[in-house]
Amino acid sequence: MNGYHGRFLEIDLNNQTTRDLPLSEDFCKSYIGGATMAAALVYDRIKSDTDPLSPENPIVMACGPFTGSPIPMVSRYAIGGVSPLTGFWGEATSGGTFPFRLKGTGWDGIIITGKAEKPVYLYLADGQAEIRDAASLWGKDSYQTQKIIKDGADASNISVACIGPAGEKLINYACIMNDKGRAAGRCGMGALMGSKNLKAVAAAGNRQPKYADAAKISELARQAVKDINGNLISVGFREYGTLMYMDMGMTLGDTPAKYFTKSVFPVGEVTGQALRQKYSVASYACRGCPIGCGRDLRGFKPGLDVDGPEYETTVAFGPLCMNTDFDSIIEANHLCNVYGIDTISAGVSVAYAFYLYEQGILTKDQVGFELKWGDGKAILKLVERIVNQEGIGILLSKGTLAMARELNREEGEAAQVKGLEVPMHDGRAFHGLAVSYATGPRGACHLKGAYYDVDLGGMVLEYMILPSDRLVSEGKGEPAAKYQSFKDLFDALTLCKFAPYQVPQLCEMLNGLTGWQYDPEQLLAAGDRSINIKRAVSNKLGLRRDHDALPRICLDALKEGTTANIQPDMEVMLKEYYQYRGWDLETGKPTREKLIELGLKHVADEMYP
Amino acid sequence: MKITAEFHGVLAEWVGTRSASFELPAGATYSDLMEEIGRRYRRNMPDQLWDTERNLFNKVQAHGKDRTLASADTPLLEGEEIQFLLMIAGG
Repeated sequence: MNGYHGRFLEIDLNNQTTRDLPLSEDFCKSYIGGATMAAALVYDRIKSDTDPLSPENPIVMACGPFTGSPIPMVSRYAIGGVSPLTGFWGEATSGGTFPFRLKGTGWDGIIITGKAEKPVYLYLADGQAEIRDAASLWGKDSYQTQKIIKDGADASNISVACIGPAGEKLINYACIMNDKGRAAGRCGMGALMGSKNLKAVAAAGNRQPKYADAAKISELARQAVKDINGNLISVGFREYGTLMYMDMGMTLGDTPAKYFTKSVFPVGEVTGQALRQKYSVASYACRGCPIGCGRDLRGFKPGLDVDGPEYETTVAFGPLCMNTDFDSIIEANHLCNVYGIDTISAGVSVAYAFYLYEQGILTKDQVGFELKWGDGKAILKLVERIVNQEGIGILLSKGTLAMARELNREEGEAAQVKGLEVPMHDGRAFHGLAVSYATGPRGACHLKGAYYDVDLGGMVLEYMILPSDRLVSEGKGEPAAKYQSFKDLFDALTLCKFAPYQVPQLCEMLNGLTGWQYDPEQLLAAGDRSINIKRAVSNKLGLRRDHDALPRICLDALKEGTTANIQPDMEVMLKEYYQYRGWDLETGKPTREKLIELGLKHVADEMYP
Repeated sequence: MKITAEFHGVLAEWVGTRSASFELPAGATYSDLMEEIGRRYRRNMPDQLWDTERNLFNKVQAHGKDRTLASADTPLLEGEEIQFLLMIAGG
């Protein structure tokens, strides 16, 4: 089969065995790869009562047909399973070099079930798999773990994905780190690894599958580099990283402040420009990326280089906490990376603590110190308590929904969807984003629902996804659903979300790799299928229609700024969205007809026995 | 007529200034303003920022008082302040 190795590695940690799982071409053609293929594999392996931290919950790490190919911006992989944070479908993706190496091992991905008796790590090299003892690695932070494994490895072409102490402690939003500071951040997939006593996966190798038309792929790759370098967005990300958007986001009311209760905040001290002026900044790129949006801060402290914070992290520990102290934001980011927790869920949980303190719900006695908005030192203390599981940190480490429930607060105060904390874009500023957040396959997700891209001019003509008034709800449900499907495909093909490829270009690339004949219509159908198989996983786990909702705190009209007095009309957009999806408005499940139309008959038969 | 241009965020870095004043003839249009901006600042900008065919910024919106300047032949108003915003999101 072209574009694929045609096999996954299946690992059972209960009895320490491994075996090949062959992939049929039909299966690959239906689910493509990455998070979508992971969802298809997870669906077949879970039951309605699968506990996220039980040995039965599989963790899937999956590449796609693009991973490792000469096409730029494709060194990505996805992790899937039942989320320890939400209890529904969970996925996270990351870039760096690890995805390239994982595909280079000679498998398209791995499925891990069971639980090892003692800490272990997987060592995969050129078609050989070993389960190795990780006793000496347990307790080590994510950077130490990567370094120790790499230093002790026989192979030089090795890359490591691992958990830090947070994953070992099963913190709900623990993440998986690779290539130093690259994070598969969301949904607590690090806790899933920790629950299996699995500290790391090390991957070495350069094996690549055959491509159907290698010459065409080389030509498309050359053109893609030209397109990327000629694109203004690339210039911005190269020079300022994702922080480029900070002032713009605040101007548009898209950058939330003060725990989603404000959209006006002086961000001048925490922009991409400020980062470059204040620190020694170098950029780094994922393998095969001509942009290099990652930031390295050299000598942040004597002898210490750290990862520069991304836009999401900077807002979460910055404006969302009313904080302009860049040092504290960078340090919080570093702590999260070292211990291995998601900076978005952590930042939102910390901001919620400040909010609760101002309301008098949390007290100085409970917290151990005062919480005044904007106090960078207090933010750092809270993050330290989260990662060390001390005092108030235990509550904050459970996420905002659990915090609200434990403190007997109204759930609408918890800034989350389906249990996943809301990222740093505001649905009141882009109504298409609001409906995408509410319906996101893993919960509130800016990566699948980046509708701001559309309303700022980034149209997808093939699917009639066109820019319109960002503050109007009517008519947004259908294009938002289509855009969600389109962006979901990126995590199946395994593409960076910043890759500026057009639909016909993507079809050409996929067909050149595989020899298939995907056209734009079939590609959108594959995106729809992807959303539906993930939905089916969550439906099996109890997801209902009322889980598709934005919390009140993210919908209440703001009093100032460009989005003052504006509220998205969720009912209108959800109705349109459901209509496009073919989902039942009462149950929130895909209809039998829709599932069959998308080639998911086995799901239809199980959902409608 | 006097026109002030305000450049926001990263755009200010690329243009090389946050604010600039222009003295334009009466009846000047948005296109005339862009001609002046191009003449004064274009050599410092990244190539990708300027649409050479239309003689306008790429991926930038211009907002006057209570209006968006969507068309090149839109007449400007005496003393108007034009806000230039980069239309690029992400992160």
